[in-house]
Amino acid sequence: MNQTTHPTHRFNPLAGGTAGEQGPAASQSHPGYAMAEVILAFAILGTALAGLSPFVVTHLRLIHKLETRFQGNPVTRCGQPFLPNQTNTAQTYYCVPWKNPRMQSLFGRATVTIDPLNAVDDYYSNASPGVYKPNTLTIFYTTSNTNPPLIYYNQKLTYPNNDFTSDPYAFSVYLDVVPLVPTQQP
Amino acid sequence: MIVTRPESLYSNRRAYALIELVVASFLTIQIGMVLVLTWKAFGVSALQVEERARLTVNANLAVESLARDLSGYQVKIEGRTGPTDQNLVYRLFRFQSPPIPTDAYPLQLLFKREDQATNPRTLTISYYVDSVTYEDSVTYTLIRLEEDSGDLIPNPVLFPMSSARTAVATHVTKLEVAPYNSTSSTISFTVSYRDFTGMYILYMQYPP
Repeated sequence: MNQTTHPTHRFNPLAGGTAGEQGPAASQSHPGYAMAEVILAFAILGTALAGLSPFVVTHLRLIHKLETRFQGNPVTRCGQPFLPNQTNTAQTYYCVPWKNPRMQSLFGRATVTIDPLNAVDDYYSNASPGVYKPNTLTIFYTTSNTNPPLIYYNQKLTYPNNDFTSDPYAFSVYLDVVPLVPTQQP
Repeated sequence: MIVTRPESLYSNRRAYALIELVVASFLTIQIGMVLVLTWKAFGVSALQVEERARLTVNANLAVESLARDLSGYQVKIEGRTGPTDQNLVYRLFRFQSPPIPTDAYPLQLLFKREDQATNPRTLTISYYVDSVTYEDSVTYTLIRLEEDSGDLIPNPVLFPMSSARTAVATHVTKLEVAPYNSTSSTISFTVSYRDFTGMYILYMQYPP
């Protein structure tokens, strides 16, 4: 019986014959075909894994960077201590406001640091602790009738070509200069 | 007379099927081991990265919000821009030390408007953990509640009492505040997501 089977028909039961029955010519004409398929499949799988590994490694490095920014103390996984990096030690974090009141109001954020003194903040105040130190840029206007003095300032936004629908390009603060009258500071 | 019986195709296929079965089983085991190892190496790591990222991001969000509120001042922009922009005002509220302990809120901060000597307008910022149960799953959220007392004098109509509720971070299951000494408190909060749980501790120094 000379029966030839096309390779595309080998796994198609409708192509001829019954399922699981192959002509001898089919297995003899392509003896290494199945092995080549396996090798090719493994090659594709290896290539996919080779592309996946740097992706996962990059994410692991990024999450490690993120974790070192503010570390948990401790972090557990299923109730067991979980340390992503054994060289890391548990840190104590301090929320330290700026010493300069003007920096507090302008910067709008205290610093989160492992240094309780916040060495970055070099502002020096010779005022006694607990005594209110006036802001270095506080502008106050006083008259003989106002006690305590009133903090006074005025500002204006300037628009290009007086087009008020556009974004302003200047912010001006106007100071009214008055003769200094000795008085108590706020 | 010797009758030669031609070897049937069926008998040849029987041995061939056995070899095929052995080889196929071997390859299946090999492929299965590769898949299991691949999942353990990449899949589990990717899941852990996702869980750890949620933990860390929410902890950073919570601590960022706390750091902004513990700076010493709150700045509120009031009014609106107009042709002369005379109505836009930046209001400064100064932190009052120490934090107010309440039963309802683990952390409550009080700010007073700086340029009002008598009957100052106050700003109260509270933090608490809110839990919502839906179909046997509980969602925890760290809430920041900002309550403005409004202007008592001179213009309560223009600046009435108001409040704003903001979801700061999710998966925050517990928030505790304890006084540490006369100038600082200890804020500790717990973030949980799936298998991971992290406790984060922050020493809050009162603004000078």
